[in-house]
Amino acid sequence: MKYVLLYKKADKNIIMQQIMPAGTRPIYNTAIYEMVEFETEAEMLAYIAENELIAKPQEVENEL
Amino acid sequence: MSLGLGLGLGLSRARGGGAKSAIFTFTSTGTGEEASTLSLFYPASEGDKVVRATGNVKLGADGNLTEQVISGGATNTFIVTCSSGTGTLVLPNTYTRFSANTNDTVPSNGWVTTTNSPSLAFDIATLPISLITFRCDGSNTISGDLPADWKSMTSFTCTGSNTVSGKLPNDWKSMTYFRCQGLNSVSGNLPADWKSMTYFRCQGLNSVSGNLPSDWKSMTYFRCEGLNTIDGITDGEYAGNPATIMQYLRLVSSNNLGGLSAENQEFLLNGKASRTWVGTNGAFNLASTATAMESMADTSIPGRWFSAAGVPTGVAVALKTLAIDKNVIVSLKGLTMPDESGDGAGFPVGFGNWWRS
Repeated sequence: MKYVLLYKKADKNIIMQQIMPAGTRPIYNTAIYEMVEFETEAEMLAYIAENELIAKPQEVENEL
Repeated sequence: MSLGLGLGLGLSRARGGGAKSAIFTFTSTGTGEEASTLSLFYPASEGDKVVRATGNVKLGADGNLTEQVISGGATNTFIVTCSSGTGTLVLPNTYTRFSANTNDTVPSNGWVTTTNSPSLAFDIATLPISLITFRCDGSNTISGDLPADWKSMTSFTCTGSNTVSGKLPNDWKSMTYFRCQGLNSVSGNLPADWKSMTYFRCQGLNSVSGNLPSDWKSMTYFRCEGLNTIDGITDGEYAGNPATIMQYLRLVSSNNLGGLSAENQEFLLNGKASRTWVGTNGAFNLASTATAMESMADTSIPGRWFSAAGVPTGVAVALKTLAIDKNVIVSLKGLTMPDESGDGAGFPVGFGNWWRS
């Protein structure tokens, strides 16, 4: 299981935060979106803060 | 009827929409120094009736009133404070919108709170049967079963820590928008008669069941999580109205019985790839860990992704159309997209070259 973070490159809006099993990952347009994987939620949250990514809690796919 | 019995039931006369008055209970939250705002639309006939505050609840911008006269034929705004403990509002149970506006398809929030303003509680089954819209986004612990006789309801939203329960009512045939989040335990089949549905979202402890109805042709947003056991698609035109813009489709379940066959997932991929999607941020997500959600991995040729001649199948084209042409983020169990080289996971040899072409 990995913490999967996917956001839009242009405006840094987070589109997805989800725990996913090995072998399953989002399928997306790499010109539009960026995906990063983490071992822990803490690592992911640190990445979000460092890169000033923008969360929209009501719409983000958040299963954490 | 005695006040004591009324308080016990949250009503002054009888359970359900026939009650003359209802009692909303408020609990002080945080410092208790700020106000929440309740917005209810009352028909003209209710003008000059009075809403009364009891206990530690006060009304008005200055937080010093115990009564407020209703304006008929208008949205009434009640500024509610509760500095400590609890209190109630006793109000005529005849409002038709629990919303700050009169838009019956896009209502605005009827209960606005802060971290230091009161939380609201009532049994949802006691609300008026003539209710058209209900939107409660603020702090609440609303409980009770979804009322089957809300036959005029067009838009329902309840978030917060609600424990709303009961079956999705088949008779809510005017519904266009349903959103229930929190600790709800909503159950029942997805109602086939909700034929005007555009938005369905149910998260929490729900155990929604049945099939995705083919008659939900106007749907642009579907999201069901929790303990649902949705396990199929009614044959028909689930792909929907091509004139509407699709935004979101997500079906995952913490109950291993909830999930779709690979054939059903292919049906959805093919159907949704033909739709117009929102420019970016669209999502098609069936990546549920539930046992019943079948893996879409297939590395054989011929198989799901390539024909015997090595030609991409219709479902492969649909996947690429969604992800690359329509910028939809697609998540399917057992699949990882090809990177700058290779075939990813769950796809046959050569898939990556076609995907990158």
